[in-house]
Amino acid sequence: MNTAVGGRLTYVVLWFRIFYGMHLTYSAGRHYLGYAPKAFLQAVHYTWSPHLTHPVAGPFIDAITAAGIYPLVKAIELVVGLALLMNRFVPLMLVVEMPISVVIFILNFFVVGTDRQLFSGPQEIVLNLLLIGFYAGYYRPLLRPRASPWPWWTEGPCT
Amino acid sequence: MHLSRIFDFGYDLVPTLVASSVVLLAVLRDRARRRRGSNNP
Repeated sequence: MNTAVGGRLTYVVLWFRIFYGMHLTYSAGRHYLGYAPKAFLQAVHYTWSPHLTHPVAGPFIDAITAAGIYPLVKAIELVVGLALLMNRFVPLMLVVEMPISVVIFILNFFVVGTDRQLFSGPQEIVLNLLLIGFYAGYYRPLLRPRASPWPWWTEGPCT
Repeated sequence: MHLSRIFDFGYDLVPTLVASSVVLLAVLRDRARRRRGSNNP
């Protein structure tokens, strides 16, 4: 069995990892930049994301912002994005990002459905799933239909 | 349908440029390493 990835696939995986890492870091950075002083924002011609007027997506974003979930989502995006760029904990980060990708996909593709959202919704989930596929070997130990408890303080599973 | 309505500068173009640059540098680095390796058996 050939276990060496090597060759061109290594560069393909690298491209997608860096692309997704930059994409997430930009998304989070754009959000957090909005908290910078107004004079700075005017100097860099920053415009805050326009308020969503969609009858479903607008109230949804307003509600998760009011509940403090939206800033948390952006914090997760920032951590995942930087981890992907630095090649740290990549398999874990891809799983952590998955629920956010699913929500973005549903909201953009099925709910909002503008030209941009019809592209960016599937883009989000395809990138996440594609990278999970590239790192699939790391998830094999998790695929146990019947698992015994294995607390962190024991050396092996409880029998 | 205009492409600017689909693609975004920050979300798509910047990551494309950065990812392509990183891959290009990795390819050049690996080629240089292989060349050095073949010169010094």
